Amino acid sequence: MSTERNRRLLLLGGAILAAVVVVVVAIVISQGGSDDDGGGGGGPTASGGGAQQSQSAEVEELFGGIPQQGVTLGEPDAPATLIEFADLQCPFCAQYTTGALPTVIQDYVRTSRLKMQLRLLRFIGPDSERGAEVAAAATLQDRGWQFSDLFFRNQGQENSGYATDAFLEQLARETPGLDVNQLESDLNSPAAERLIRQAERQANQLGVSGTPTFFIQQGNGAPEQLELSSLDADSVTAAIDSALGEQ
Amino acid sequence: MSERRLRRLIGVVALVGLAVAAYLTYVHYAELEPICAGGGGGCEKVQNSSYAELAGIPVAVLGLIGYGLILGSLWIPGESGRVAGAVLALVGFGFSAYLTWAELFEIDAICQWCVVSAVLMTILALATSWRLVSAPEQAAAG
Repeated sequence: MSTERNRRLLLLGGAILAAVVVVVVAIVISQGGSDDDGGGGGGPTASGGGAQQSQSAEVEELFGGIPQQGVTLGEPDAPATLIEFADLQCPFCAQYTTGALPTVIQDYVRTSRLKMQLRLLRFIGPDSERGAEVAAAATLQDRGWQFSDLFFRNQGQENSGYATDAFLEQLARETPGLDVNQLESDLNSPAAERLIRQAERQANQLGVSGTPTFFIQQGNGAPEQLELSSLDADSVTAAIDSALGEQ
Repeated sequence: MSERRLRRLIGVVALVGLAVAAYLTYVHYAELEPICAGGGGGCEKVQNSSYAELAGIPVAVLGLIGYGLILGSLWIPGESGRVAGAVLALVGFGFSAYLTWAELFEIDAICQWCVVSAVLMTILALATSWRLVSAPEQAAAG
């Protein structure tokens, strides 16, 4: 009886050992290719300079300390969500980002009245596509908002081919808290592509036909489009107040 | 606990796990956001993380296969069935532990569905191990 019991315990030990081997191999496979996060080095950081430095610091100041989960910026428990559909090449999106966004963040997100989601579309052209792909990879590190903000600040002539690898890499290096090596391994990954397709599917569902387009979602209710008379901070905050019933 | 009861427990838990994994697989391929009680976006973040796939295979699909195989092992007679069930459940448990670690320390988000699956795998690992060790003498031989 006791030898039978010992034999079974031995079997269980073997089963545990086999399981450990399988799990370790699976983990090694899953991490293969994205194991490069040591060291800060890498390619040339095209001189950069003071202007870029201060942009980076401004972005850090704008978003610093705010919880970020994927495309969502703000307290997860905030009662309402401001969903923005934007194209990185869209000049009005850049106008909103550099003009009204800091006020919205200060008055609504930092006070936990709103959380915000940034859904990037890529309908203007190839520069939008390349930008959105890098932004999606940055979003996997919860740095999509920062990267997009920097992109808008450095937006070039529409469809002029300005969103080169060097341009995007420079922005990535200037993005606070972004691990560029990790970004490169996440670029065009299934997870990043999924984020882009999610944005496009949601835009189709909500009938978005241009950018920027904003929706307010109260709790888990249906998103309602925010009607804006202009993109300056006063108009945006008035529209948000009205949508939130705080007029 | 008797062999019969252990088999029933394993069957029921594996079925629940199969349902959870089937839902997460559906959500993955339909590109929907999993329903998360209380919101928070944790499930979406985990589903969109690099940990959501293993060698290009969605973790939800691996779960589906794992729970299916554990369930199937109940129909393999004798000790081979019990060993297969224990190995599969222990692999599932180990992988769940790794994913839970990743959620806590790498992704910084908790997906409630993954927690449910981790709990189910823990129950299955304990139950299948106990079944392997405590099988009745004559059953152990056959």
